[in-house]
Amino acid sequence: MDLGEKLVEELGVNTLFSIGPAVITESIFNTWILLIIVLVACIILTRGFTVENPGKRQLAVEAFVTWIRNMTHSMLGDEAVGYSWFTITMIFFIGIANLSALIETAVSDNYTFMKPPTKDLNVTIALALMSIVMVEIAGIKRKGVGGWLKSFTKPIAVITPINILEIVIKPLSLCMRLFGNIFGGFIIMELLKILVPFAIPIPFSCYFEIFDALLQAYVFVFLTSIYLSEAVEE
Amino acid sequence: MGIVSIHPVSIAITIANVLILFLILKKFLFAPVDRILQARAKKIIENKEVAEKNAEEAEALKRKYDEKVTEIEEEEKRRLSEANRRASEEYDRIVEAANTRADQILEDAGRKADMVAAIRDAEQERKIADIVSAVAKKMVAAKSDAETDKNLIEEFLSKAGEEDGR
Repeated sequence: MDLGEKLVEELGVNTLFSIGPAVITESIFNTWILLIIVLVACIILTRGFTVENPGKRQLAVEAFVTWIRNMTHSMLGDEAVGYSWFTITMIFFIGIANLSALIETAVSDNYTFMKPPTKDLNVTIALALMSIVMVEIAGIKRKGVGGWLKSFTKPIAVITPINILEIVIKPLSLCMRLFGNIFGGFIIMELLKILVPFAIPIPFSCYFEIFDALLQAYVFVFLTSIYLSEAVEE
Repeated sequence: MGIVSIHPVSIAITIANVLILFLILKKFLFAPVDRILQARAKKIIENKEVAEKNAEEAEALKRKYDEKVTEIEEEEKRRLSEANRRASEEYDRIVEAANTRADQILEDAGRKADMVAAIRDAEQERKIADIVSAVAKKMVAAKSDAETDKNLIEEFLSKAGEEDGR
């Protein structure tokens, strides 16, 4: 098998099984596993919380929750802070999906355990769609349907077509940026592993699978936050 | 399935997955943490209220105590000045009495002295009279001459001088 074929195989998203008309792919199955891991982790981490004399675990969880709230709050601004639940969920989803590459293991020809879901274009499309729908909903909620429609002619009527195009461009750029970065990082890692199977890939792995993974989650959420705060401003 | 194939079903399931993640985070991470944080905030507010109440009570007690101390000090001052006043009154009264008494004593002494002087004068007068009468008697008895008269007179004078010199 030459390099090209191997890459195509690694990059492909295989169908595992189908439930009726629903085709369950690797990325969706992995997402489910991640959801279960998150659920179990949350239950374990928040068990036995006390109001007084919190333990180290509780303090860490509280600090994390406060930190992520403050971070999304500062990205959204005071006006759009009501949408922080959305950006928090997004940053969580993308973060854990990207980080899952750390424990990626090929189980069989057809299934790779923890192949990052964000490497599947369908997943990033779904995330980007949710983002743009949320942004437009925020705009309509804030300005009413009339005000929302009028906002396309702002700041001047001439750029109305560009504003309308933005509805497509914004999610497309979000989706492609995330997909491209994870995809690209994956290709580089695969190439490295094939060329130098020992030691050298470790620092690169740290960069692509930890730093870039979290950075892309942050960038995605940061841009969504900007769109949201733009949508709700008068 | 190729590298970049689009499947609406996958997209829909992913959207559902994101919503499930949202529910998981909300119910199992943020809700318990918020519950604790709110309970703690409530407790802190309560503690603060209790502390404020205690401080207020302490302040009230302190004020009351200060008032009492001032009251006591004033009472003490009042009593002291009362005592001083009484003492000075007593002093004045005693001095006055002493003065009166002294005046009286002096007066008595003066009167006594006068009386003593008067008595002495009377005695002297009486003695002089006695001497004069004695001289007169002797003169009459002796029918003496001028020499004898002169002696009698001298005797009288020397007796009178003795009486005076006493």
